[in-house]
Amino acid sequence: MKGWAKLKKYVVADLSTEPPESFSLGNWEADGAARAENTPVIDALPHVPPLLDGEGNPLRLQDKLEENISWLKKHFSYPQNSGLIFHSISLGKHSRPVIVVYLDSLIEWQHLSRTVITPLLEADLPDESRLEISDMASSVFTNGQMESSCFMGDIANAIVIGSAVVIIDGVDSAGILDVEGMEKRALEAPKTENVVLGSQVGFTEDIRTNISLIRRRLSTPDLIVESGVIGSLSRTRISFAYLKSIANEELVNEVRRRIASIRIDYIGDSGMVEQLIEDHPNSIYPGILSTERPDRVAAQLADGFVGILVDNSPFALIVPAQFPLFLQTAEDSYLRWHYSTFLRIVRSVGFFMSLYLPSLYVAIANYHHEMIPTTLVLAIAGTRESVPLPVSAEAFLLESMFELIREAGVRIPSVIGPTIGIVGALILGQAAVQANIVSPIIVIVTSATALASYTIPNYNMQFTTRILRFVYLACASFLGLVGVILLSIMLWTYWMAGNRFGVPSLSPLAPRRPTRDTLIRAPLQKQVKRPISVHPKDMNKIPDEQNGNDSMESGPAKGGESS
Amino acid sequence: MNTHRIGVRETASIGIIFIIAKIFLPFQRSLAEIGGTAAWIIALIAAMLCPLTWWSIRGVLRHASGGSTLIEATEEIWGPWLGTIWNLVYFTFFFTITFLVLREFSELLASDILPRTPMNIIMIAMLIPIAVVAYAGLEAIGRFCWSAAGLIVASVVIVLMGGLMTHFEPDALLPFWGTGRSQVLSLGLVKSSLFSEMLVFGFLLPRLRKTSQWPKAAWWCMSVSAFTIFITTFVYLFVFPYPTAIRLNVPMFELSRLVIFGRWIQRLESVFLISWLICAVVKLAIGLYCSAATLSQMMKLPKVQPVIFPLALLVYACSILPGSEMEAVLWDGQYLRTYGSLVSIGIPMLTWLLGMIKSKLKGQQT
Repeated sequence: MKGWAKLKKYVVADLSTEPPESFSLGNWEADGAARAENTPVIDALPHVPPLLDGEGNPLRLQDKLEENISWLKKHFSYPQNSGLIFHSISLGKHSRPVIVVYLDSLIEWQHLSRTVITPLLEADLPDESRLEISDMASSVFTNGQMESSCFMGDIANAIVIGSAVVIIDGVDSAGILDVEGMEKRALEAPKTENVVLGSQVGFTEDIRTNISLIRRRLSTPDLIVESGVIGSLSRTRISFAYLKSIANEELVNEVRRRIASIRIDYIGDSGMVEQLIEDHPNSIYPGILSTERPDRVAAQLADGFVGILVDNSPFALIVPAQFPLFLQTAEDSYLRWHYSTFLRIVRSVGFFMSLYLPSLYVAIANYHHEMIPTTLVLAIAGTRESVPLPVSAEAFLLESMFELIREAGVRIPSVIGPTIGIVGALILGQAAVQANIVSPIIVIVTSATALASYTIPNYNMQFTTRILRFVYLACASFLGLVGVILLSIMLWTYWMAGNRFGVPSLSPLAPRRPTRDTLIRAPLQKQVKRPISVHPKDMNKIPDEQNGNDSMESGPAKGGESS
Repeated sequence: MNTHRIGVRETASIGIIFIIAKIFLPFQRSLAEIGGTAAWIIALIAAMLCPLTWWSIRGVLRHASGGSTLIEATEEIWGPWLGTIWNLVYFTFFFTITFLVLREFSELLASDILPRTPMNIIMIAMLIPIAVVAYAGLEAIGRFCWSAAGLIVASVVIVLMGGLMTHFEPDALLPFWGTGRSQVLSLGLVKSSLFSEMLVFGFLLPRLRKTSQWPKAAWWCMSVSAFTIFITTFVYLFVFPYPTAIRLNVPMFELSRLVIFGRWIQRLESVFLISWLICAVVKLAIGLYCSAATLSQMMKLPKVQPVIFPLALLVYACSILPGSEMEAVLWDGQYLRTYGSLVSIGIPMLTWLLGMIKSKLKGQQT
């Protein structure tokens, strides 16, 4: 019966009248409004669930210190689980027992000593009989920021994320102080999105650093950063950022809803989050833009997009991402419009060359010789005279070899990486030509394709072209140009049909929306509107001085509903 | 039903491609056969009559409940029995267009582009993207049509200009009335079915966001497609004199073979193949979608998609019914392009009239 359930959808027509669960931003779909009403609105991102006692109530801190210590020891499997420290201190004149609990690998010793241990040892409390932990924030722990909680769940969670917990005998709540001190990577230039002009700072693995990098670029109270935790085991911190007065509320709600609906045990990187929240997991085309550049994120936030940051990941996600975004870089805005337009045209040509060049060569050489001028076709025929393989086999062979070199180049130690590049690209190619296995022209075609693929600024989009290139090659081998065109029609229509976070994948190209920032980047003075495809609350990018809406303090004041 | 909205540009593009795809078939030759050197006058008269289809479709949709397609409106006005019969006629029309054009294009590819590939393989290879595109729905077709429309129109313009620059005869359009004035004029009326594909607006118009956008989309479509059909016939007759014009298998293909822009830019027929094939696949996908939509609306199915693949198989089966390419062209010319206007103008006109009468009677009763 299980097999039948799988087979059923291919045999019996699905005539269900339920609306699809797709999200539509703005008014792409007629029943979008009705669907938006039915979609539950989630107020906040998920946090660590509380620990419950036998009756289902949140587990509270006990009055007696010994009971709390023994609970914590049991909860953390102490001493089997190494690293948990119980630091005993006597507080005040009456030597009241106090315990400071923390995980030694997650804290910074000097910070702990300065903000917790020394203040506790030197504390001079006037009335020790009526001690309240919340009062100690202003009298004892003045060097750090303290929160208090009476729930064991909060306390246990605070310990595992690098806080020190102060529990005092006879006091019904504990103090939680942030003394986190893990080793962090310093700010470095981005590894995959280098630019010539512009900031040379990329994100790091620390989410707080990454948020600060964005906040530095958008110094406005409008910048909202909502945070939560995902992954039942990893409890990875996740945040998403948007500008309150610009980002569409429906979009923000949808991002929040999708993050909140993640059900997984471990999140290792933003790439996993990307796969869990994207619209079409089976699509070969990326639907979310990942970037390691804070300036790119800030620029997109200013246009009404939403940025997602995940702890332990140097890549932020930008949603919704449409095709033109994948061929743009942060540098485009920093260059004069002529230069950036030229670069965008080069990248677009690179994208199409990367997809189609080998298949077009195979199609023309195999099926449509008449397209090639006579002298050139004679030259090609001359080079292929001694090659025993058909053109398509040559192309497959060299493309596969290039993929091997590319993957090897990423995996091998960096010391011998360049050597392998030279060995693979030059020696193998030269040797293959001399051995009459491939013709020189296919080496040129493969090299040009490889160069073209590197002009695509987005790593995920590079994968798309790398994989589809082989599919196009197969079609060109069987049906020539006809095969390439037929497959293109199918793939492009499929791509156009889909929405990414409620926005058509190829917007603003198809469906066409007026914009001055796609292939041709207009001068900055003329880019007065934000992209309509994300339906920002405020369309005006440059403040409308006629309406007196040029205040810098309030940010974009002219808010409104999405059209 | 799928209620995705489309814009004016997308609507007009769908209409344009659905109508003008026939310029890549032996359509100009068929006109030359019946009209001689005055074939262009037939195309002109047919173009002048195409607003009739638009007005009648608009009339039908206005007399039905809001958001109804042509199929739903016809059933609403005529009642379930008669409405279903008319709708069956619509279905037959769309279905016949689809399988005949599939056969004609496959024959064209098999004879001129891929001579060593079996025709069945070509037909199946075309049918797969056609079914996939139709399955994606009208919204996706509209987006694709809008993206491809520029390429198609540009390629047509280049072929026409290139053809004219290479060779043309000033006296080629003489005698003015070709095979005779009365025949040319009467055939102009009959061949108004060249624009029968305007019926697709019966599905497109309800998808537009506002009723006020209807005329804009329709007039754009009619203007561009009428001009394209007229100009391709006109230029074809200019470039190829009458005795040659009635013998060429695929006029636009032959025209593109003439294009020579210097030593390096010549023999470009394979380049133009890109736009032709896009045009053909999109036209067939629209035809298949309209057939499926008609059928599903007649059967009151909530979705179009379940009908697409079974219908695609039927299209394949029917497309091998004509014994040869010439037989398929003959069916197209003798049946589809002769009686097509009865379906595209006659039935909607009748329905519109009945709708008006019913509305008036209703008004008198209330």
